[in-house]
Amino acid sequence: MKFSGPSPIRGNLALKLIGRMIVWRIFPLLLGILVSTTILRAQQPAAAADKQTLQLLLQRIDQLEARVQQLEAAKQQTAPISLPSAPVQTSSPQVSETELQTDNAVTERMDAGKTLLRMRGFGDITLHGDSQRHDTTAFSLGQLNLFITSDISEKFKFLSEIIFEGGPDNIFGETRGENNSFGVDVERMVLQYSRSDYFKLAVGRYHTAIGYYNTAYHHSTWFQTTTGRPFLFQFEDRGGILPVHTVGASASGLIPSGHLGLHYVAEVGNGRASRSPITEEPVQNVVDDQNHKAFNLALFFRPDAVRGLQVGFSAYRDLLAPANLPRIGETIFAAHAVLVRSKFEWLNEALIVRHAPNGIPRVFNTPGFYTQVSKQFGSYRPYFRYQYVNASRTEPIFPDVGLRQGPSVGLRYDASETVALKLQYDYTALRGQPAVNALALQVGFTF
Amino acid sequence: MRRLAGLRFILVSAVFSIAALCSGFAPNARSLPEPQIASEQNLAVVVNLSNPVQNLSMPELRRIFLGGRSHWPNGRRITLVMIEPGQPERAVVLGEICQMHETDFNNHFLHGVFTGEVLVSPKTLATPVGIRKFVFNVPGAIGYLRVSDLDPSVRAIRIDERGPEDKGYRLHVPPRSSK
Amino acid sequence: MNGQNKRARKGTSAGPAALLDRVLALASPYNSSLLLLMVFLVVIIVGLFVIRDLHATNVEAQKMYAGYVQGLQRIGELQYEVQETRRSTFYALTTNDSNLQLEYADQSREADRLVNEGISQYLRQARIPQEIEVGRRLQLDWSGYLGVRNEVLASILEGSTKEAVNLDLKGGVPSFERVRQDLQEIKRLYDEQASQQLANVAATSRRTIFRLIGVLGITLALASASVWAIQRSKMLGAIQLAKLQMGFVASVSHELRTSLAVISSAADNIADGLVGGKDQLKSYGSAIQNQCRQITELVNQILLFASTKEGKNRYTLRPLQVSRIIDAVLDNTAELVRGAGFVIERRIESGLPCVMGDLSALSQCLQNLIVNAVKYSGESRWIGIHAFVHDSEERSSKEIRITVQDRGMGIDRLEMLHIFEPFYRGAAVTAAQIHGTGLGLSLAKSIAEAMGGTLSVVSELAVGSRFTLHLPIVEKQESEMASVTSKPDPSIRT
Repeated sequence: MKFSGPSPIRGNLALKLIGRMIVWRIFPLLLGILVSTTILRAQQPAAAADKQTLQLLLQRIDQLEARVQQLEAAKQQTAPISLPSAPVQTSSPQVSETELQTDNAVTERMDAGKTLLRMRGFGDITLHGDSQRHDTTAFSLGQLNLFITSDISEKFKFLSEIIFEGGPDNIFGETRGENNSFGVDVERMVLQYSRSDYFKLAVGRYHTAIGYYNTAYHHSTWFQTTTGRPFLFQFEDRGGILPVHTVGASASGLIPSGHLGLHYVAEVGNGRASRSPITEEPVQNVVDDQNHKAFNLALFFRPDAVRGLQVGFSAYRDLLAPANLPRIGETIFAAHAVLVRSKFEWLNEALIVRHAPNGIPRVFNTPGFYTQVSKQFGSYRPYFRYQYVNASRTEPIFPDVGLRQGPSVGLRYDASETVALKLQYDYTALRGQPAVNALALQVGFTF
Repeated sequence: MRRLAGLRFILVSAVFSIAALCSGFAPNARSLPEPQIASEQNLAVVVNLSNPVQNLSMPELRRIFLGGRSHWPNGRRITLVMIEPGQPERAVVLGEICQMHETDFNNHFLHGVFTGEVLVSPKTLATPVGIRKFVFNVPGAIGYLRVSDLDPSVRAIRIDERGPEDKGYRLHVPPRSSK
Repeated sequence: MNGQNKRARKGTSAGPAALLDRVLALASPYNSSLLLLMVFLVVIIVGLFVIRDLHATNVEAQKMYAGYVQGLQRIGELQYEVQETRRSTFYALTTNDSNLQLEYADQSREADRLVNEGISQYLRQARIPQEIEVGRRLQLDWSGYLGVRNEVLASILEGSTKEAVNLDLKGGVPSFERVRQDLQEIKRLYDEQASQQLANVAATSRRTIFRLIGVLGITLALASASVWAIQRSKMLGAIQLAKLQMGFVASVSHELRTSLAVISSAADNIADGLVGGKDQLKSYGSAIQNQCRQITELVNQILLFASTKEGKNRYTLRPLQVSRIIDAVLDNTAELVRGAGFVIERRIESGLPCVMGDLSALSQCLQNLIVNAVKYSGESRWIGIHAFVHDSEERSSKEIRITVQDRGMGIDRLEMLHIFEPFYRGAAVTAAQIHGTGLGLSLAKSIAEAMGGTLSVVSELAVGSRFTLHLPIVEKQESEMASVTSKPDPSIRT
């Protein structure tokens, strides 16, 4: 008896069929499963929230138990010195020698070493790639932000942002530092004094109140809708053109204006460094290279009639003295109109940076604007941003900026209350250079 | 060609923005459903007895509950006290006054503390009795209670010139479920 | 009589001892009992005062002890609650949980409420200015501390821990120190007062002990004196009784000897044949009869007295007409009265009701009164007998009174207390050498009491005496029976 094996033609056909099945049936099925799983996860925020709540409650119970043990231990240590061992409940005690002996005890004092310091962390990790030459697709550790606050007293409060960031600094086109090394920066260190709603004073290093974005978003990508800041408001060490940080004093408060909700901000600080070369750390944290101070005045409205609307204007003035250049008067005018609500935001800002070198009749104006809009759909928030900045080639301070403009579109997904996934596509048109297409996948979180 | 593509892209984005704007831009639009009035209690906003404030408008109340105001007229710091999540009173406050959901409310304060605009986050207490005692003990405190939970140790303020006992009072809370 | 007077004068001139004896002589058994009763009452009264003092001391000691313990407890509680107020505030600082902080705030407020109550109670009970002053100061300091405490609690609840600590260091510690010092001051004042109270109680206790010792001593002395007085009184009584008995014996002997001498003389004369003629013989016989009758009467009286004392008399009580009794008595004493030359005035009210009695006994009683009237009338020769109805002084009904009155020597007021005692004969009677046994009035009183009545006397020296026999009136039916069945009693001799 002979057995005839399968013919090669049949085998190939079978293979083709199997392949087609895989491609047209199984793969969509898998994709559907993946998508539906994601959708189901998005549609069960309550269950996740419940679990999270339970976990938080369990954590709190653990913390309370630990605290009770601490208290008991502390009480045993301090009992022979200070007060008699009376119960916490208000039950009448027997008259005893111990209580009679407390006649001579010193009045117990509170522990002055106890403070209410809170720490919160922010961080992000990004997978990005773009079409710019010499750039590679890479995972990048973003800024690890330790946000520290302390309620010193009813009127005084301290906050700081200590940033651990990696990679080189890019200061006005000049790169400094190693690619993969980490550095520590104190990006904010502010002591706030709050006298009333009409007067608050902050001293230290803070974000200059130019426009809206700089004071609304600091060093945490988790708070931002997009993966990064608009180019206009990029940090100094990331190629930004604005004096984002200042060391000085800032007064702010409400101006009695009824339903208009008028606020003011008045700042004075060291301003941007102008020591030669300007490629040094632009923020003058310790020493000001000149006596001239930078001033900034901002006014904005938050009318009651439109919930979430803020419209404002600011004017910044500084005097720079870069090396081998005459002094340059720097003036920055910024205007903004933003509508921020829990499910929707629309940010619009425009500014102009004027550099007027002394003795030179020419004024270098660098305009810039951006508009950003986003809306929340459940856990998903799609967004769009368009930004523009046009610096002259002969701009004395940041000649490398040039013209940059382009849209960014993306999707933010809040995986939980503290973790956000963002997928963003950027198209940036550059003067005299090919446009850059960039794609970034970022996870931003707080802890 | 490239420029045309860019312009096209901008146009599409603009249309998208306008559409999003129309759906989102509605002055004082309420995203939460209207609560039912029938068989409900009024929710009183309460302050310490030493607080001079007698009346607040709804926008002022919103500012206070969102941390936009930090001090009372007498200079005392405003301390907001909320009941813990899950309670109907908190849902009413978030919906009617703050016009936010729970997550948005928490994120708002987190953001406020982060920017320095908000000095102190709200306190969270477990029971209405706790809120009443907190407001009684802290001169700058503001909280909320059902009218049935009120007692002489705290004072209810008027909202838009309307007290909890007046017609047209805006804050209503469903009755407590009996198990 | 002179010898007796001399003896009497001897008795009166012995000094304080004699005076005491005279006083004690007056102490009849009744007076001894009264004396004993008086001593007993004095002891009781003083004892009550002492008991009252002891009780007061005891109560004061108890009060002081209770007050001390309660006061210490109150101060201890106050100190504890003060510490608890502060302690609870500290506990609130140790946690970040607002719910727990509120619990501690509640505890602190509850403790300060108890402190306020304690301070108010202390002020309500404060008596001396120092207490009021320190109480008010404590109240003020406590209010000051509570103001700081409230601010500290508010800061803790708001989350401003540093602020809370600074507030406490700046304001809480000094104000709490002041409160603590005020409490110590209160405790010191309290201790001072307790010590003072203790000293008072000790002094009162000592005083009471001394008083008790004094009272006991006095009681013992009085009791001893009373016992001695009573013993001495009894001794004197016994001596007096012995004297009276000796007097009675002497008197009876004398009476018997006198009568026997007459009888013997008459018998001798008759035996000697000195009596001739019938008339002389009759005269001698009559004399012998009289003397024999006197002796018989004397013996009868003595026997009657003896039987009375032994309680052997059996009287037959019947309703009797008063007039019948008086007629019987007058018949029995007619010869004596006539022989002594007396005039008896007899007044009997008409329609007198009957009395219950024994005719012979009542006759004997009245007879003794008449014989005494004859003996002690002195120069007077009048005796009055009066029978009438009168309201009884002892009962709410009426009684029959039969009085025998004379206008003789009368009886001394002091002697009137003793005239109804057997064998008693007053000093004046003895001095006047008037013979008698001293049993007459004793017998008469015994008979009167046996009849359900009494015998009383009213007398005045040198004016006279009136003896009254009080007899109860018989019921109407018995009276009617008496009027139908009355007979003369054969035992009465006329």
